[in-house]
Amino acid sequence: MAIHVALCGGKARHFCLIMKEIKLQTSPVETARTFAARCNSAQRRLVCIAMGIVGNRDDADDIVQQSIAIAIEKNQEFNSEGHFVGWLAGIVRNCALNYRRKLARRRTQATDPTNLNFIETKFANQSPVDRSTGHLFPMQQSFDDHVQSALEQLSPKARSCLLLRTVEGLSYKEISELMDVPEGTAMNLVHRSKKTLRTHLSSEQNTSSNEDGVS
Amino acid sequence: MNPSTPYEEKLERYLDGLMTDQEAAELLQSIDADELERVKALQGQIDASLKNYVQVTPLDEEALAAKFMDSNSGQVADTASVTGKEDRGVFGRRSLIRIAVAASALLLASLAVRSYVGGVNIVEPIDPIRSLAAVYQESVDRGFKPYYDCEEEERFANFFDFNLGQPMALAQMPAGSRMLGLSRLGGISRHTIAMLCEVDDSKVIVFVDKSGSSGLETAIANESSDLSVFVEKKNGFVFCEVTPLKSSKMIEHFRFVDD
Repeated sequence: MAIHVALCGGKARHFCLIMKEIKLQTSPVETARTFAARCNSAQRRLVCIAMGIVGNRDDADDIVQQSIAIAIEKNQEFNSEGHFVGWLAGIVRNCALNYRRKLARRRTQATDPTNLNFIETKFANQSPVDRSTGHLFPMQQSFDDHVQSALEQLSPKARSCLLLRTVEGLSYKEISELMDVPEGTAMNLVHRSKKTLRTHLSSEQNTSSNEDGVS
Repeated sequence: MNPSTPYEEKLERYLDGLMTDQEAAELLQSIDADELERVKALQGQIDASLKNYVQVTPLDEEALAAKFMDSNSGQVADTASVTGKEDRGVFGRRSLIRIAVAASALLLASLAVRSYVGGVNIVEPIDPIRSLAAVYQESVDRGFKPYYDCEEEERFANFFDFNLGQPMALAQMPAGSRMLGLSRLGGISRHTIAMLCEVDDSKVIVFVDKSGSSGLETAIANESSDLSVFVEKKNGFVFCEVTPLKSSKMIEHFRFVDD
């Protein structure tokens, strides 16, 4: 494979043709294993993207699983790990956005308890607990809870960029490719998100210490 | 979000590790050192919390590869036909285009019907049910840290109530036993709750799920490991204690909270 790549130089089209040939020459078992390994190594950044968009940890897992299932069906040609992750990230973004739209549409007609619970907490904020994760919303006790509450103040795109930068330590160029936003926008979103979270957490800490002082 | 001032932008670039040494030195001269330390500490806490929140259970690569193989078996020849000078047989180029258009229309129609009916995609887990021992070991390898501390009784009860439809509580623990928190460890079913505990310095996990509808019972039935597995069914729920100890220590402390 390395020889082919070296020979094809910068001619992208030629490169793709050669990679297709390589795929044909690679055994199906090897292709399947490569696919699985790449999914595994990309999993956390995919979860970051999905979680940013849907704002919920468990739903993000489901969306990533769904996206991988779609990827398997599509059996797309992929010629490098970077391209593969970018392609899969696009599927995750679409699935997550569809999921959000679906929930928003189902707000007035949902019949299954899981979605009712989600909508209740996300849109009406009537319950103190996110029923799908067990997290308390308004009466949160721990620092982690406050962080998750603060995350909800961010836009979906900002949340995804922040998680990709903080959790995965990706460069802004990588984030830009995965999120399909300009590099500068990605950096701006991350910096502003961090500031928003610090502001929120500072005020929560001040509130807690004031309450401690009163009691 | 409000627009940032130039100073705030500099601070963010500093916290993000994007400044050169010279830029950082200039910033440090213009900022209160204590304030900067406070901001750095808070940002560090937030980053750690976010990392902890987005932990993932590795995918089962063998199962995923097998699914890939299953799904794409028979497609190797199709792929070859894309790049090769293949014989199209009785179908000419126009026929192929017509077939493709018809197939696309059918696909779109089926998607439209699905959308109209309001069906939600059922996500079939790719991972098969894993052994309890494997889930236990993975949790130990990751430092045996729960996702939710759940030290407050109300929060503990709510977690079970909203996930399994039944609030639960823990009775007073004997000395040497403590509940560390609750987790979803993955690999069994997405509804199974795992309670991480320490009993006399031994790491113990109690899995709880509804009886009759969970992957937990399948995992229990298939279990064979050096760890002890104690199972108890109460009020339509399954409690499964996975422990290196020779007797069950934690299940007995569960209490059902009446509504």
